[in-house]
Formats: sequence, structure tokens, C-alpha cells
Amino acid sequence: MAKVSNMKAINLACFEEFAHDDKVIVIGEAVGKKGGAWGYFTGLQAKFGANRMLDMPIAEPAFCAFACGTTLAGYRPIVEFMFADFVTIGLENIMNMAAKQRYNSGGVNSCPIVYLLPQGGGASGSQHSQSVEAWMSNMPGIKIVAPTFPGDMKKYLQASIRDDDPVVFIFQRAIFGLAEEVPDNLPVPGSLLNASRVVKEGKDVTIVAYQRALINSIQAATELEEEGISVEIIDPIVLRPLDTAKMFASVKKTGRCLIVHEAPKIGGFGMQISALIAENCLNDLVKPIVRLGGKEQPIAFGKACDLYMFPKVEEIKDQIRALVR
Amino acid sequence: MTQVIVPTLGQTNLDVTIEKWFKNVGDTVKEGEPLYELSSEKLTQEIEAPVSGTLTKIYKQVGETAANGDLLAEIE
Amino acid sequence: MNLSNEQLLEIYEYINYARCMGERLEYFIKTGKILGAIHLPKGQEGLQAGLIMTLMDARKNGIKINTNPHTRDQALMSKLIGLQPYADEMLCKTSGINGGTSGEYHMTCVEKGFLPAQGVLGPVWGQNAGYAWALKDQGKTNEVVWGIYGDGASSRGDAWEAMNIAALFKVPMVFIVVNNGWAMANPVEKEAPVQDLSLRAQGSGMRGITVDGNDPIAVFEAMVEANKLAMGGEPNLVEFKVTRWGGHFLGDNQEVYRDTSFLKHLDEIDPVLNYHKKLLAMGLVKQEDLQRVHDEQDAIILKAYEDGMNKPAPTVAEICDPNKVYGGAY
Repeated sequence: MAKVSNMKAINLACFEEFAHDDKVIVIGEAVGKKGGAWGYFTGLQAKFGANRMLDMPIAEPAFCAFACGTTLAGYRPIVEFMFADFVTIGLENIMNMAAKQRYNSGGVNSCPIVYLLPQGGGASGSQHSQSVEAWMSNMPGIKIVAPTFPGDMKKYLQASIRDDDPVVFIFQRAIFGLAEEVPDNLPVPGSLLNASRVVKEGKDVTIVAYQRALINSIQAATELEEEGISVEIIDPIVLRPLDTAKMFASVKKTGRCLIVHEAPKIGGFGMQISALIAENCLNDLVKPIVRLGGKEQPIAFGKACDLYMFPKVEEIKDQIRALVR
Repeated sequence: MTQVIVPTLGQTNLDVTIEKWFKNVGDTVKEGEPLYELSSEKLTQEIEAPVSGTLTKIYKQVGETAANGDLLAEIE
Repeated sequence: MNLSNEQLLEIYEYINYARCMGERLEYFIKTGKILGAIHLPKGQEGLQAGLIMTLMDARKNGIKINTNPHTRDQALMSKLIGLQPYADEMLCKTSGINGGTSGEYHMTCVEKGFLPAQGVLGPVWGQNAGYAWALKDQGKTNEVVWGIYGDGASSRGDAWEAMNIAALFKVPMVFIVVNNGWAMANPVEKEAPVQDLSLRAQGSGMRGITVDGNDPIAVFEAMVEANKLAMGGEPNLVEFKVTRWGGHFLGDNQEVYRDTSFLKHLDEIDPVLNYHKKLLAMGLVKQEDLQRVHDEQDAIILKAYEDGMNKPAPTVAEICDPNKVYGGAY
């Protein structure tokens, strides 16, 4: 057992999967000797060889297509985007090629690609700070995984690599350093189903949140215990296919639901969660569902980015209080 | 008897207008000869007779609209 | 390259097959039997015959060709996987190579060398370069990959990126550019600042040559050499110049954007007729052989499509089968 950060969790998952299946490769920019711009591939090339760490020129559209080509021959590529914001450059070959690869073959060809997307704020402004989970959520054929904690990060990256479908694996830069005790031989889930977990138990309000919004929600809930408010928090971990069992059970218990994410609300993934809860738990709700999201504008550069652009602990506390009034 | 069916040209199923008949009911037609002309918002196209024979029936006249798959004429 | 009489006659069969494919598809569209939006191959039969000959010759020599169609490659691709499964898929029947839900635009059969066709222009060269890399990584030295694009598609950013990546990784791939002078309604002079698109290979350090695509023998010779280079670690580009006779698809009124006076002199540029005259002069065929071989090939294509039309379409359950969408648990 050791204290493992999110960054380290990604690295450990890659090492284990590279050893588990020699068809796992990495495709991206500066992934070989440098270990990727963020360093989570550090050591892989030295151990497993350069023929499994493909350093690509700056050509996301073509190297996403290239990744699909390798899957036709049985490879399982991890495709890294330096910033989640740049997924737009490769979107064509994620949405129009990878998402349809299986269907267009009548179910014969699989497309086991994992796209690594480091997202979210970090003082880097409008084109390097966005949250992108909703951008690809409206696409049958794609799975979306968005863990927050290192244990989940590790085992769900492994599960994503072993999954036969294209998985968009999104994690937040701002919590790269978040660390927790992670057991050495953490079992790998057999699928991406039933992934969500109750991070904090409570009885007055249900929060569904992920990544830094989840961290802030936990802090808000902890502080509100002093005011006698009990909050239950669900971490979905996998957004598509979304595991709704625990969040439905929670809302049935509390009757009040708050959804928090750092992406803006309009068109955000919270809309999907909100609709599902409304459709399934209407009779249990005593207050309308509330969503909190990032500002409806491009993200400002520098400190303003983190100070003003995303839901803060105080804002979350205010919403919780409003729900229990 | 061969049915003459309104084709789908291009990628949209737009209704077509019959612009011209090159032959009248009772005329002999030869396979490959222009038989009629259709138009839609995006295109005009001459269509040839699919077989040789006698044009026995015309179901849509010049200026009338037809949908893709509609029966247009018969050749015996 | 010295072709035997058998080989020359084999090409004669293929060039007629390609002509008949175009004629029959046009016939089926105009009689409402097939939905439109098929890009007809008329005028480009010389290229098709040369590519088919290369495919068949490769098979005789234990070489597997892996490719996918651009547009107007129905003749080649039907030879790759078999005419019946090809026709059935184009007709969207369950017996089609992909169960009838892919149609002409999205066909694939990796096992037979038919890499996924893509309906969007741009990704194919990258996808195929990835497959070629995998072949090299797996030591499959008797396989080669072709990526076929038109003069328009090769403008896409991904196309340039793919050449770059293929050259860097030295994959066994031949980039084929079919330059028929028209990117739908855009003439190639407005699509590219250079006359010979083979020049683009130079930017990636690859050899690029321009070949007359109307001459099936020239096509065959160029492709045999290109394959050899590619399998030896030198990806390369071959540009074939051909003439597109019809509009972009059947129903496209090309008179509004193109000088179609050439249609009055088709006999002069007809690749089928010109090849026939060549063999006639050599004494390999008689005058009446052209119609005879044409009709033989037409009968084969007609039967395949008519049989296909009588086959069942996929059921709703088959179309909406979740196992076709996801391989992992969902």
C-alpha cells in the first residue's frame, strides 16, 4: 500500500497494462523519452521499448485515424492529447471513425482505443482550461470515463484499456497531485458498468459531482455538518454508460439533488444527469433539481481563471442551504 | 411489362417535377433512348428507357410532381 | 515489363468489367432500383483495370493488398471481396459483407484486405498508415497497403499529415491519387496550385510519380513497382491522371460548372476502346470480341445485382443490434 497521486495512478495503470497485453501502445506527442508532456508515461519506453511508444508529429487528426488503423490489426492504443481542449482537432476521427468502426463492420471490428484528455482550469485561459466531457457525450459508440480519486483513476484506466470500445478518459490537471492510499494489487473492474460510488453518506441532500467540483462539494458538505446539514455525495466515475442506481437510491432517500461540474451548465453533462433523475425520481423530489456549473463564457487567463470561473465551496454551500430551507 | 419508377438521384429524397416526355403513349421506345426529363431543386436529369417496347401508360404528366419510387409509366 | 498474351487478355476482361459496372449502376439508379449518390466510374476504367490486374497478380505472388475505395472504385472493391457480397451490401441486404447497414460508403472486411471505407474525406490515409505500421510491426513483409484519394481529398490536412507520418515510420503503403480534374464541382486548378499532385510526396521525402491512368498497362507496371518499394520500407505516391465522364454523382448537372464539349468526342479518349484497339492491332482480339466480352461481363454484374435485389433486407433487430455498437459491456 502506498500514497499515490492521480498522476502516479495513471503511470502505474499504464505499466500494468503494458505488461498485461503487449498490444497496448501509446500514440501521442513527446510520449517516448519525455514520457508525455505531463510525464505520466515516464519509464514506459525504457522498460517496454520505443516500438510501443509512438512519438507523433503535431498531427492529431491523422494520428487519431492512425490509431484506428492499428486497432484493425489487434492493437490497443492509448492516444494522448496534450490538453483536453485540443480534442476538437481529433474529433473527426473519434466521432466519425472510432465511434462507428464497430457498427460499420456489422459488429466484426472492435475499436479499443483510450483517449487521454487532461482537462480543466489551471490558469491557462480560454483554450487550455476547458472541461470537455459533454462534447462527446452525445455520441453512441463512445464511452466516457471521468474519475476524481487516484484509486478510481488507476483501476478505471486499466478497465478502459481492457474495454473493447473507444473510451474518452478525462481527468483534471488541477488535481494531478491529489493523493490517497492505493492498494498494490487493486483489482481491475471487469467492465465500465456499475462504476459509481457513494463518497460521503448523508440524509438531507444528494450531490452528484466529479473532479474538482466533487472535491469542493466534499469540503462544502464537511463544513455544513456544523450547521446540522447532512449531505450524501455520489461520484459517478463513468459518465457513459452512466451508473444511475446509487444516485437514484440517494435521491429517493433525500428528496433533494444538486449536480455540480466545472463545465458550463448549458449543454453540460449535468443536463443528462438531471433529466434522468427527474424521469425516475420525480415523486421523491421535494425541491427542483439544481445544477451548478462554470461561467457561461470563455475562461479568463491567469489567476482569474480559477478564482471566478468555476463553482466554489461557498457557492455550493449556499445551494445546499437553499435546498434544505 | 416493365415499370418505369422515379429514381432517387444524389443524396436527398426530394420530390421531382416531370419536365418533359420525349415519347407519347403508343410510341415505340428503344432501350437507352431518352424517355423523359425530371428536375428537382438541385438538378435536372434526362432518363433513358430501361427496355425496348411500346410506351403503354404515362401516370404523371409534364409539370406534375412525383416522389422517389413512384410509378411513372409502363412499357410493354 | 513484358506482359504475356494471357495477362493482356486478362486486363481486357477487367476493363470491360469496369465499364459494365458503371453502365449497370447507372441503369439501376435511373430505373429506381438503387438509391442515388453513387459516384459512377465511367471514364476511369483504365485505372480500375490496372488496379484489378495488380491485385490479381499480387495474389498469384502471395502478396496481400489491403485497401479501401475512394469513389468510383466499385469494380476494384468488388473484385477484392467478391461481387455478390459487394452487391448485396450496396443494396443493403443482410447477405451483404457488413449485414446491409453499411452500404457502399462504409464497407469493410479486414480479413479480405478491405480496410474500412470512410464516408468523410481525410481519415483514410491516416487509418491506412496505422494499419501499415501494424503490418510492419508484426513482421508481415508480404503485405502492402494502398490509400486511394482523389485530387480533392488530397487537399485535406489529414492527408498531408498521413503522408508525413507514413514517411517518418517508413510503413509499407502506397498513396494513390486519382486525379480526374474535378473535386466535385471544383476544377483541380482551383484545388491545387501545382499541376502534378505527385509533387506533394516530395514534402514528406517520398517518391511521387505521375502516370497516365487511362493506360491499364502503365497503371499495372507503376503499381507493381510501387508495391515493391513500399514493402521494402519506402512508402511512396503514385498519381494517376484520368477523365471523369459524368458529374460528381448521377444527377449532378455538370454543365453548369464544366465545359462538357469533350462528351462529343468520347471515342477518342475512351480507355476501353483504346485498349481494344491496341489488342486488335496486336492480333490478340477480333473486332467482335469487344461486344462479346462486354456482354459476358455485363451478364455477371446484372445477375449479381438482380439476385441481390431479391434477398432480404436486415430486420429492425439486426439493424439495432447493440452488439454491433459496443464490444465491451454496456
